[in-house]
Amino acid sequence: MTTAVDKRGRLMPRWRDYGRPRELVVRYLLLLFVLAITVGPLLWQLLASLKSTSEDVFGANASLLPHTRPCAPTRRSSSRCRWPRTSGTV
Amino acid sequence: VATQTVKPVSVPGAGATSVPGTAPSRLRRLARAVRPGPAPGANGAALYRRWWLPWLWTAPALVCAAVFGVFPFLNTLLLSFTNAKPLGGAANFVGLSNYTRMLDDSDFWLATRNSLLYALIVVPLMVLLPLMLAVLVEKKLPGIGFFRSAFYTPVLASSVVVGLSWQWLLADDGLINTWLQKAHLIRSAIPFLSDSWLILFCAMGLTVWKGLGWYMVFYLAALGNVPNELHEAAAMDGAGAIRRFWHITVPGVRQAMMLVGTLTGIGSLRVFTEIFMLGSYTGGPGGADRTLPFYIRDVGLDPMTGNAGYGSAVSVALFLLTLGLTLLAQRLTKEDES
Repeated sequence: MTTAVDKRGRLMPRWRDYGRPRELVVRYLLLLFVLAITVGPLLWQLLASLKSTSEDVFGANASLLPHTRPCAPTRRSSSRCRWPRTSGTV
Repeated sequence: VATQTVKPVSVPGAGATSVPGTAPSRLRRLARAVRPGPAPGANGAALYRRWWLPWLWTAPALVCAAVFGVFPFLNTLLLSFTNAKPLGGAANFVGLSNYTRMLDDSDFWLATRNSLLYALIVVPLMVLLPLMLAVLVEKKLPGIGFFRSAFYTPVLASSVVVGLSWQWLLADDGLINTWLQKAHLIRSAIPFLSDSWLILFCAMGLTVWKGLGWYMVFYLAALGNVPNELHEAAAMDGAGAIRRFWHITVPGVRQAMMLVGTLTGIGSLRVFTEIFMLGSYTGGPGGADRTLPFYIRDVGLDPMTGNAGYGSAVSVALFLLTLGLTLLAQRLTKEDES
């Protein structure tokens, strides 16, 4: 039953109100699987567009994530780039 | 609400102003006919008292349909009896020779086989998979709105863009082959883009992948009409999820399934972009994956060697095929309703 209440005083359903735990887990796993199939190729294309010309898009050495910063090619743009330093810079 | 007073209307060329109540001029009759609201002393239906008035309002749409629909169709039908060239020039009447040539053309039959196979495989997948997806996202759960939107994303992308994306993914050194090799599931790359059958199946997969979200929305609307009490009653009687799906959900959305089947069937016979993107401009190795629209483009639109007359004949054949499929679907729908 719904017993939890949010800050505005509205009743909030608990996880158990959405169904049996096993059923929920299976449903979310299926949703994630379909998500990977539907959005995966588009996401890969987006990530490939962030790669520099020195990185492989095809082949055994190709990685999913870009190793270089997206705005690294010129020194001027590099100085303005706010890409996190911890993301594997060149 | 229209005003009931009629101002004097000057009639060009009459030399005088006509006054209401006197002998009606042509212009006054026209003004009265097109005036919104009922005429003085008449009921509301008087708006349509002129037989040509509905035609006047629908004229822009009718003209568009005639110029962009009926005329091209009749022109194609006419061209199919000639030996016209794509770049114009003299065209001679050749009778039924384009049609007899079509019957002996092995490339035409290959394209027809590909188109029919495409429809035969894609239609069941497009009818069932979006329905399953709709059932999956129908239940209100935390974050379900995100999943629904994400599943719709491929629909928004351009066919050429997603075709290019899949071309890169399915290449011999593409991500899919690389991952399968790294996982030691395969030794050598699977020739997704060089084997004619695999190209055809990959193109089918691309069509299904791109259409999933679109038809999921159709089914979500249809699922709203399936009473939840039936599911609850069946669950109380001990029916499992799969049994409820086949015996309650599927019969409840049968009309939507018929619609989706018809639409995807027509769309499958018209497929071009997927084959073009995955099988290159030749339509697979040696043109083995060409569908009927691809073949029409090859034989009818090539500026040097093309024959617009023959291309038109193949277009007419494609039209008849599509018409047959539509009539079959209509008949099945009527039988289902009765």
